[in-house]
Amino acid sequence: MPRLERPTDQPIPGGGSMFDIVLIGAGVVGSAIARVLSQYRCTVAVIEKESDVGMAASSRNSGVIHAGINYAPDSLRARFCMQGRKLLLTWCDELNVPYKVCGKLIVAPSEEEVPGLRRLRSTGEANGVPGLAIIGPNEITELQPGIKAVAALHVPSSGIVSPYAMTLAMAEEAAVNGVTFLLECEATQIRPVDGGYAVDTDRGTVSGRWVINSAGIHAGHLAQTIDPEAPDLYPCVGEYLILDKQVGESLAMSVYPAPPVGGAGLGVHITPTTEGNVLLGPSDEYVSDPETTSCAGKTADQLLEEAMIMWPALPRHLVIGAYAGIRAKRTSPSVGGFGDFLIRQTPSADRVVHLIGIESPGLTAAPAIADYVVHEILHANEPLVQKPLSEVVHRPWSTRFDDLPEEEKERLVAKDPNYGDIICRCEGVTKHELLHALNNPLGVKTLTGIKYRCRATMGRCSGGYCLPRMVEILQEEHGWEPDDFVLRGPSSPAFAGRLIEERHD
Amino acid sequence: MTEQIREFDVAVIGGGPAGLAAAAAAASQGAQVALIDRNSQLGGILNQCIHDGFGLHAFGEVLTGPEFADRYVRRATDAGVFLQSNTLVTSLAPSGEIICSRYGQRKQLRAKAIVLAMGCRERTRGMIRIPGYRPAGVYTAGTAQWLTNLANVRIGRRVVILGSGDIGLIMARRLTWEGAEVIAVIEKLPYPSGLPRNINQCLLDYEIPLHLSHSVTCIHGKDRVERVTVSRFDETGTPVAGSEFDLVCDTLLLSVGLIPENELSRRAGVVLDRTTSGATVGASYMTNVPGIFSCGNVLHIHDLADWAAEEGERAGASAAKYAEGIHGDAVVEESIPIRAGDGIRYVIPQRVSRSTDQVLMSFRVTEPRGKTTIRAISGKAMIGSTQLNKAHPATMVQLRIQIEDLAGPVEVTCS
Ligand SMILES: Cc1cc2nc3c(=O)[nH]c(=O)nc-3n(C[C@H](O)[C@H](O)[C@H](O)COP(=O)(O)OP(=O)(O)OC[C@H]3O[C@@H](n4cnc5c(N)ncnc54)[C@H](O)[C@@H]3O)c2cc1C
Repeated sequence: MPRLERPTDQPIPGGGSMFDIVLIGAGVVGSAIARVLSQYRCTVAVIEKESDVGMAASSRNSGVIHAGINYAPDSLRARFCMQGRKLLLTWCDELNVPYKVCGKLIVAPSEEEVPGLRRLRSTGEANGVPGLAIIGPNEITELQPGIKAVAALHVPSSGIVSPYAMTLAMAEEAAVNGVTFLLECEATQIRPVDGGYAVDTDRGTVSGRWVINSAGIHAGHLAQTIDPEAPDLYPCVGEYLILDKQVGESLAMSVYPAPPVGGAGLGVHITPTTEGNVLLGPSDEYVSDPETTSCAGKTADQLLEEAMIMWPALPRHLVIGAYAGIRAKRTSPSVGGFGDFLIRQTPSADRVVHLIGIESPGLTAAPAIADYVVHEILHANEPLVQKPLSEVVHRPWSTRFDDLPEEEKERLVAKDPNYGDIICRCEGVTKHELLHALNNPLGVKTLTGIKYRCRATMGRCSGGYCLPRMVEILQEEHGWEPDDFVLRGPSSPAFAGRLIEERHD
Repeated sequence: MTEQIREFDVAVIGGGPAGLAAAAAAASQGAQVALIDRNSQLGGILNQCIHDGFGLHAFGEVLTGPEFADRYVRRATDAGVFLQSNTLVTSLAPSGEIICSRYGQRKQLRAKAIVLAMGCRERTRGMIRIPGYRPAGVYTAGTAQWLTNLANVRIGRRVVILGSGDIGLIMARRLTWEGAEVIAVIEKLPYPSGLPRNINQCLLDYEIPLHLSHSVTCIHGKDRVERVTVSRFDETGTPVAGSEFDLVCDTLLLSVGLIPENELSRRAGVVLDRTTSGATVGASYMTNVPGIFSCGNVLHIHDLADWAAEEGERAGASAAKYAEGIHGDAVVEESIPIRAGDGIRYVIPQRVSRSTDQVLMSFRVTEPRGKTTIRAISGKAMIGSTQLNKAHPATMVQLRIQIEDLAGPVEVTCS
C-alpha cells in the first residue's frame, strides 16, 4: 500500500463555502495571477488537473524571453509582450529565478530572407523594441561563432528564462501566502449559482464569486460550458531536442531563422537554457489529441537538419533528450499563422473571465496578463485590499549549489552536512537540495516534480546515477514504499512493488 | 578549505576494478596513494553484479562481482592505499589538484600523478532518440540492475529489452528468476553485441527470443509503458516498412551501449578520442595532460572486469613511476601514432614513444568474423601478428610489439 499522502486525500472545500476567486489551470499564466492575488486580502483556490503546476505548455517551450518583434503593434500579444518582458525581469529578480538577457540573432541563410529581417525590424521598432540592428557575417561571427548566414537581425533585449522554475516559484510563493492549490482536480463545467459561480470538477464542486479560466489548451471548450460563443482552440505540437551542456559552452545566444510565412511557429531555433543546455526546436504540427506529448523520430532528424543549416558544425551526437509542448492556437490548420490573445469576460456572466489562445509569447507575457486581469478587471470592478507588506512572505527560488563559488559551498556544507552529499553527478545536486525539493509548499512528491525543483534526473544520464540514490534515501530514511514512487502522477508508477516482501522486517 | 590540503604521490579517481588495481599497483611500488570513490562500497559496478563469471582470467576462479571486488579492495588495503569512499570528486585541475565533496565536508587534495578510473555510464533513451511518449517504466539495464539487486524494488512485470549488451542479457535472466516475463531482446545489429557466453546462459537457456536486425521504433503509453512497436532494419540501418509489430509490456530496458564518463577529464584539458569517447593515451596510459593517466572503462569500454583491472595495474604502475620522475611517455607531439586500420575499430594506446621498449595494444574488430589474422605494420614491415579462430567486436584482442622494431606510425589491421 502506498503510504504517502496524495493530493486527493484532502477533501475539496465544499458545502456553502465560496472563494472570492477560483482559478482554473496552474500554468505560467494561472500561477502568475495566483501570485498577484496572494498579495491581496481575498480567498483564492487554484484548480489544476495534473499532480503539479506548470506541467503543460509552461514547462514545454523554448524558455525565450521575447523582445516583441513578431507581433502587430496594436495586438494584445505586442502589448503584453512588451510589458511582460519588463515585469518578468523584475519578478525573476524578486523570486531568484534564473534568467539571462543574452540577445537573439534572427538569421538569413541567403539574400532572399533579408527583406523578412527588415520587416521584423520595423514591426519591432513600432513596438518600441530597442537596439535592433541588421548585421553582416563578420558581426554575426563576433556575436556567435559558427553561424552561417548572409545577414542577421540582432535583438539585444531578448533573453532566456527557466520556464518551469518561473512557474513553480510563482505558484509556491502564492501557496505560502495563502492561496489554496487543488491538484489532481479537473474542472469539467462552469455554471452560475447564487452569489457566484460553481466549477464542477471530477472531485466535487468548488465555488467562487469570480472564476478565471486559464486552462491553456482546454480553455476554449471549458469556456464554452458557460459562454457558448467562446472560440475553439487547435492543439499544435512543438517538439524539441535537448543537447548536452558541453554544447552550451559554445552558444552565447538564441539563433532563429526568419519566421516561415504562414507557419504555425517561429521556425526551428537553437537556444541556450539558463542551466547551460541547448534546445533545438520546435517543430509545428497540428494534432487531434490536446494531451499528446509524443515525439516522432522523423521530426528529430528534421530538427537537426534545419538547425544545421544555421549552425553547420552543430555536434549532433550530443543529443540527450527530447520533449514536446502543445500550442493553444486560435487559428485552425487551414488558416495557419497566429491569432491574438483573447481575454474575454462572459457576456452573460462578467465575473467569469476566460484567457484563450495564450500561445507564444505567453511565457514572457504572463506577468503582464496577470497584472491586467487582477488590476484592470477584478480590482476595477470591486477594489481589492492589499495585504500589509509584513504579511506577504517572499519565497525565493534557491540558487543551485553547483553554481555557487567554492567558499560559499564550504559555508553551506558547514551549516548543513547534506550539502556535501552530492546525489546527482550530472547536475551536481546535493542531498540538501533533494530534501528541500521534497518539502515544497505544494506538497508535490512526484519524480518529475522533484526533477523540476532540484534538477535530479534532469542531466545527461537521465537519472541513471541519481534515481537509485534517491530510491535509497527515500526508502531507508523517509519510509517510502516502492508504490510511492510515481513519475508524473498516480497513473505513472515507477515500480511494480517490492521484489521480496520479507526483506523489509 | 575546511582542512589542510593533503599531498599524495598518486591519486586515483574511481574505485571500481581498474581504480583499485591501479591504486594497489602504485602503492606496492612505494608511492603514497589516495583512492577516492563516490559510493559507500568500493568496487564500483561490481557490487550490483551478483552473478558469477568474474575472475576467470585474473584468478583462475569463478567469482561473483562483489567477491571479485573484495579481492582488489584487500589488495589496495594491504598495499597501504588511503581509501576514501562516499566522496565525489567535483573538479580536477591539470596541475593535479582535486576538489571533492562528501557528507559534511568539502576537501582539497593534490597529487603528483592522477589516475582517471571513473568508469562509464549507460547510453539513454534520449541519446538514441526512440520516438514516442516518455512514460514511467523505461530504464537503462544497469539502473534496473541496481534497483533489483540492491533496492529490492520490482521494476516491472512484462519486460522488453532493447539492445543485446551484456548487462541487458544478465538482466534478462535475473528478471526471469524474479518472476517477471521477459518478452524479447531486440538488437538493431545483425549480430548480438554481448559476449557469446551470455547469449547462451542468459537467453537460450531460458528460451527468451532474440530479434536481430530489429529495433524499437515507438514507445506507447502516456503514463506507464503500455507497449512498444518493433521494426526490422535493413543493411543500411533503415526500418523496413510493413515489418513492424507491437509487443505488450510495462517496462522497456535499454542495454544500448556504455559511454566513458569523462566530464572531469574534459574539464582538466584531457583530449578525447571520437571513437572510444575515452582519453587518447600513450603506452604508459598517460593522457595528453602530463601526469594524468587513464584506465578501465573510462578509457575504453571493456568486456571483462579482469581486463579493466589488468589495465589499471599497468596504469597505476606508470603513475607511480611518473611521481618518481620516470616518464614512460613523451609529449604527444614527439610520439609515434598508432592507428586502427582496416577492420579495426580502435587501438589503445593511440601513440607510443621510444622511452619504453614494448607496448601492449588492446583493440576491437569492427564486425564479427571467422578465422582472422591481425597484423601490426610499421613503415612497410610487419612488426607483430596473431591468428584468431573467431573475432567478435564484443571481445577485446591484445597484441604486444617491440618499440625497437618501429619505423614510423603503427597501423593495426585484420584480414
Ligand atoms: C512549443 C512552444 C514554445 C513556446 N515558446 C515560448 C517562448 O519561447 N517564449 C514565450 O514567451 N512563450 C513561449 N510559448 C508560449 C508559452 O509557453 C505559453 O503561452 C504559456 O506557457 C501558456 O501558459 P498557460 O498557463 O496559459 O497554459 P498551460 O501552461 O498550458 O497551463 C494550463 C494549465 O491548465 C491545466 N488545465 C487544463 N484544463 C484543466 C481543467 N479542465 N481543470 C483543471 N486544470 C486544467 C493544465 O493542466 C495546465 O497546467 C511556447 C509555447 C509552446 C507550446
